[in-house]
Amino acid sequence: MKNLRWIEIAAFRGFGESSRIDLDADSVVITGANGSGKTSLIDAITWTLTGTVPRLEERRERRTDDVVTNRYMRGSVPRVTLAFSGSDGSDVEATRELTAGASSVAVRINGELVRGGDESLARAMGFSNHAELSYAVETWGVLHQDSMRAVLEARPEEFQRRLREILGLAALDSFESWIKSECKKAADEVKGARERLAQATRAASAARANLESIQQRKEQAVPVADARQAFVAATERAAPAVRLAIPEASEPALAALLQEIRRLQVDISRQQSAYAAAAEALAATEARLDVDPDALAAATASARAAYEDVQLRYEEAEIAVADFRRDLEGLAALAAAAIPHLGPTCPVCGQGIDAHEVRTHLDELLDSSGQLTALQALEEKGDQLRQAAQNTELAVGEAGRAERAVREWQQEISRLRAERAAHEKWFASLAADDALVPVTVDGLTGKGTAEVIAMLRRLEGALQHWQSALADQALELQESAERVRLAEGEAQERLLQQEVERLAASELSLRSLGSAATEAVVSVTGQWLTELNPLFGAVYNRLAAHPTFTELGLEHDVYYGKGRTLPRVYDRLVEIGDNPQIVCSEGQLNIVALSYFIAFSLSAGERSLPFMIMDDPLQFMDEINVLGFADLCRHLRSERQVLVTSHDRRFARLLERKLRPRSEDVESLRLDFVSWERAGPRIEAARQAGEQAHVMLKASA
Amino acid sequence: MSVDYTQHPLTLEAETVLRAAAFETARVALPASGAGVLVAEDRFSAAAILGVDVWGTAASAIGDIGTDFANWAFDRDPREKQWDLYLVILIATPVTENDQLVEIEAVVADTRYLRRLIRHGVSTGTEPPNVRTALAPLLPLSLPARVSDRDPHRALVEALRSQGVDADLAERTVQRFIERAGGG
Repeated sequence: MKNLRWIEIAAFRGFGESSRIDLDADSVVITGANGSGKTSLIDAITWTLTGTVPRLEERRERRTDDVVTNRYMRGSVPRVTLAFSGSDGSDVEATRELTAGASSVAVRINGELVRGGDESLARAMGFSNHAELSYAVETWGVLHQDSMRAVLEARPEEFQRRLREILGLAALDSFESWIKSECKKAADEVKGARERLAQATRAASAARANLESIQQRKEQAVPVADARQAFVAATERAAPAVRLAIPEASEPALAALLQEIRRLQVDISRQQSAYAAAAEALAATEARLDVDPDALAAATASARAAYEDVQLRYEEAEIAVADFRRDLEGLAALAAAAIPHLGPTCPVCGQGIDAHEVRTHLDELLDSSGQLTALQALEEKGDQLRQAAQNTELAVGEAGRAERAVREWQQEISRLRAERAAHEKWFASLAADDALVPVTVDGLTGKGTAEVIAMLRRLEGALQHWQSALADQALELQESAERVRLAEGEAQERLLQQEVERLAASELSLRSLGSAATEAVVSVTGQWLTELNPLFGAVYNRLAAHPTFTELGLEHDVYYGKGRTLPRVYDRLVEIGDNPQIVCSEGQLNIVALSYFIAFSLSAGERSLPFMIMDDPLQFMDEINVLGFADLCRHLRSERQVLVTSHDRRFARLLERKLRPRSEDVESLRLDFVSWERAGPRIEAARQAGEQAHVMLKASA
Repeated sequence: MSVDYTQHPLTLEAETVLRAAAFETARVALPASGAGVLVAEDRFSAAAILGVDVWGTAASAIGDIGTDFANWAFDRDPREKQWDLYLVILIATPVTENDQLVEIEAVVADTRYLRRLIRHGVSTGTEPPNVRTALAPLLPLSLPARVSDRDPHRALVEALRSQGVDADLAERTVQRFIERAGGG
């Protein structure tokens, strides 16, 4: 089968100058040393069809890195044109360029440029959109040597996705999801209905309890007239100490009176306490005031007069002492001055002087012992007077303080008397109240007020009783309303109970349908896998990867409520199936991966591509594997155009020999990447035209 | 002593399978060993088929038969099929002993003149044919029906019914899914 016809590559990856390469054959074997440009050719095909090279995308160091432009052609526009046969047999040429970091594709069909870029390219390849084409190219169109194992190492979800694409499992998955979502909705509805039922049950229970309470109250209810009469009687008993006007029989009037009675109790109690406190303080103060304040004032005045008299005499004595002392001191100083001047004659009159006598006289004067004694007596007298003045002063101070204290007590007594009078006045004011009159307070001892308060309490009780009787009058209406509410609640409860049962049954049914759906999806997938698995096995069997695990397939099961698909290898002689990644060697795993790739590609149905490109799939194979692979490729090329690269020239040669056309309508091509230089690879092409194979047995016949 | 392998039930069933795949077949007595084998040939390959009951029957003769068949083919066309000759040994009894498995591995690894395919534990009359699986490397690939063309909704209805869901309910559920959820 032919599809890709030629490719022209410029400034792309390992290709520098523009190079056109023939691909127009059923099988193309591409050989060349490592780094000769083989993989660049595969990348060019991938890039043209998808606009990306996924394996290079992962290697970007920066988001803006250009990973496709040839490093020796910077500034040039990388451009690849791929010519192929469209799904309707038309000649298609797709030219992809990278300009300003963005790739774009121009598509010509039978020489005519068509609009639509990538989408047109996808439609030309027989796909409904470019995303589908890209997925097909990356998943079962091109097998890169460095992503071969990724086929196998894909998580179960990825296998599931591939199967979904191949088998059209999307509808099954959607159905399973839809059923699960319906189950969840049903469960939510049941939950909601149960909550509403619980609410209705609570409301009905509350109505039932209310009704019972109303009925009990009705049984115990007192007629309003009796209650009023009891209150009137209580009022009469309270009179005349308390006189009340009987209010009208209405709830607001009774409530207002009740409030007034309670307030009055509090006020009387408070006033009585305050009055008692004031009276007690007054009595205590009066008890302390046991002296006559006027007599105290007279005593103070007398003490002050005595003090002033003593003070006067003391001051006179002090003056006398000072005079006497001054005279005495002058005389002594005169005598002391005269003594040195004594001579035989008087310096004044010239008479003779008995100096001895004069000196003696003067010495006596100086001695003055008699005078000094008198002075000392005078001074003692002065001290006594001063002491007496001080004592008198203290007495005056004491008398003044006592007088001030008495005055203060007199003021306190006046204040307490005023306070007591205010309380008495308040109690007196009650008498002026038409409605409520405590007649006597019994000398303000509290006895009377206690009785009044007790009366008020009795009146309060009677009034409450009357109030209650008045309220009970509405019980009939309440009972009737509560009966209606209860009936409605019970009806609602019954309806909701039915709804819960209906929804729960529906949920149960949906849940079992959901389980059946999950099993059904597994069953359908399993049935379809049963038809696919022989192909997986047939591909794997030819490659002779493992001596005992000789069959390959996929298993589908449900894990934690989710479908998943797992790769499996089987040893049918002992009926063992296991994960190839566990039981196979690394080399064998590559062959397992290659088998899955080829089988997926062959199974893809309407999502298949007309070519299959394998980049160096032989690198991990031994001779037996390569022989098997070569045999496989002979058959593959009748289904798909096959492009295989290999760096191993011996295996490539073997492959080329095996792929030699055996009929006239088949052609094979060998592209030998002889060398690589900065301008790009040097390629030599060798075409083998088809010729009819010779069958020995026919010749013998 | 020459042995005729052509009448072994495995050989007979192999002939049927190969002819159905457009192979030419002939019973050939190989000139040197005198062994009677089934030769099957198409445009790609030529194969000598031997059916035996146990590995021991073929083990000693396989070397001579291989050489003999290669010579037979070269005498007729040394150019076209020299890379496409096969000797296929179909053994009815499974080989489980390690010594024998090692022997088989060594024979298979020998690719001189022709490729040797050894399949053991092959039985006749199975469905799918066990012999067909054994001969798979020679046969064209058989692609499955285009499963993606099938109606997944119809398959779902059938699968739901097989899960015990009432037929009408299964039909209505899938129909409701198609209408309400777009059907996928």
